[in-house]
Amino acid sequence: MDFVFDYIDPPLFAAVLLSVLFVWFLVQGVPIAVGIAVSSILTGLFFLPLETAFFMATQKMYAGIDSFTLLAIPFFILSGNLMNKGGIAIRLINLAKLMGGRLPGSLAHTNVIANMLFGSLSGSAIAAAAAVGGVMAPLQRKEGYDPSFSATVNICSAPAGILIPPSGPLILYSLVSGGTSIAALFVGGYLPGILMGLSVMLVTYFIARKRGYVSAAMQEERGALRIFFDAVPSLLMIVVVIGGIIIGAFTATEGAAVAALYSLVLSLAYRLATPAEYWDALKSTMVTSATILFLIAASGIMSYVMTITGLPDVVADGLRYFDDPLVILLVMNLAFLIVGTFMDLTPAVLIFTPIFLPISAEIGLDPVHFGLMMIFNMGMGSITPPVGSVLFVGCSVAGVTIEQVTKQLLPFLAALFVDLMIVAYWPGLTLSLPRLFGLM
Amino acid sequence: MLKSSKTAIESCLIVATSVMLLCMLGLAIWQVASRYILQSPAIYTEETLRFTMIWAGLMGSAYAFGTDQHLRLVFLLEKLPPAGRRILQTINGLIVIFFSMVILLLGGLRMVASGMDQISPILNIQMGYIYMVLPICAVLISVLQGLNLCLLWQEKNATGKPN
Repeated sequence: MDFVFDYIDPPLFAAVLLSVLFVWFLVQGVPIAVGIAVSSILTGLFFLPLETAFFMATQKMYAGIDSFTLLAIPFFILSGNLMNKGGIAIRLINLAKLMGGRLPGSLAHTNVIANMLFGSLSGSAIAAAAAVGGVMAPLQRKEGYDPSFSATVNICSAPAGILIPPSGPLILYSLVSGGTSIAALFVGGYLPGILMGLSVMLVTYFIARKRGYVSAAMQEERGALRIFFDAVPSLLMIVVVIGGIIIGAFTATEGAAVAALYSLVLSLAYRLATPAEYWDALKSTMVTSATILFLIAASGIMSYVMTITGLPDVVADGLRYFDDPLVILLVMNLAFLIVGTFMDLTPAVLIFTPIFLPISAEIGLDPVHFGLMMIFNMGMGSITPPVGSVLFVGCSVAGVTIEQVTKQLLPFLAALFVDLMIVAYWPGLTLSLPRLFGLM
Repeated sequence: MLKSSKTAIESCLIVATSVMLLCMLGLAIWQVASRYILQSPAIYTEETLRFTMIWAGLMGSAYAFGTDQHLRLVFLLEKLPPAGRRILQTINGLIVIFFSMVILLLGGLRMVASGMDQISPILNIQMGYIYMVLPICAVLISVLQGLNLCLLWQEKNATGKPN
């Protein structure tokens, strides 16, 4: 099929063909993983002999998931699912009520703080949106909050959990970026994650004041100390797991296993979940992890095809056209935002890391900075319609439609965009903590 | 009949993979515990965990194909009239079957054959046995997808209007 190359530059041809096929399969509704694999193989056929292309595809799929680090993802998901049902989430929410109780729109602030606390124990924005939103939505409805407003606050603050460690997406990024230090990414995620939560709170404050949502009088009369001590065993997990990973007592995978065990033991002690709920937690962990693993396997084929066709160079050349690194950074972020509106976080990270990491290094971005910026950006993508996993889950637990939430999203997205620009253009925000801890 | 055999396969898969997940948790904890408590790290855990994860992950994927839980966009499907939706779903199902037959089954069988000479460094097992999960999954995915397609068309014939 070499005749094609008489007319068009091979890498450019690969880039066009791969994107067209992939988008085609995506729109048609083929599972994204299969769309990634088939479009890559079809593109690869122009560059490799038929048999080699097929056999390489199988090998790359296997090699893509043959990694011990990857095992951290199922364990962190399991731990999040256990916290959700086992009584840890509710204790964190009570603690958050204590902290957010005096501001206008206090229950919405409680929701944001609880999402940040939950995110500091679990590595998934979806788990946070489901756990915290599920408890907070009925409470806010009772207090006369517009249900679509409370759902929006929950949805917009949930991605803070994938920046605040532990974080599944950061582990994924570490893997596809060729081993960026997980400890450095984890520590670097704190400030952007907190920034995200605080800006959602700021927007909430103004909207709540305008609409006259009052600060509810503290309904829990159990005493602040009691509530705090109730949450201490859960919060200790941060020290054990993140502390252990940072000082190098164990790897991220082992830390994730410890987190899952810790959540299991606490849940058993709290006696809130039924055996059926434990079984459900296990099953849903397996399904979520399997779909992520399958996506990773499929992207193994795609990154191989990208390498042999020289596709990242096409993108890099296109970006170099802008000359100024600051402009390239902006264009890169806008591209991610556009992709993020219709593609979920996991496939987007898997596909775009190999394309954009080289050019980001060229303009002088540290891989830790680039990774956190990308995850922040893709986190925004997971809340923007039409497609976003956090958006879907947040709407379904609150019982509102996506259209209702879409109307409320704009001021929050504007604030998050400002945050994104801060994250992108001020490396100190992401890099100072990892440097302080000597992780990079 | 079709439905019950599909449910039976799926239940087996989800029970097997969930139990594997629990075993992995136990092994990973043991890896930490043996290092700090017994002062003699277990060497076999890393490789065992890796292989178990690949098996559980791929078999779990087959389950997710059967129950339609893989990430995909549905906005076009939802816009189509029932007949068009059924045709597009059939095409999508056939693409999945084609993918699993060519990449996972044929490619997998070749990896199994060539992997019989490779020995895993720690557990000393032939890698061919580990690669066996690829063809096994290919068959499971194709069978479950095939059953889904049969059910899709059976539903249409039974009621005249599907879904």
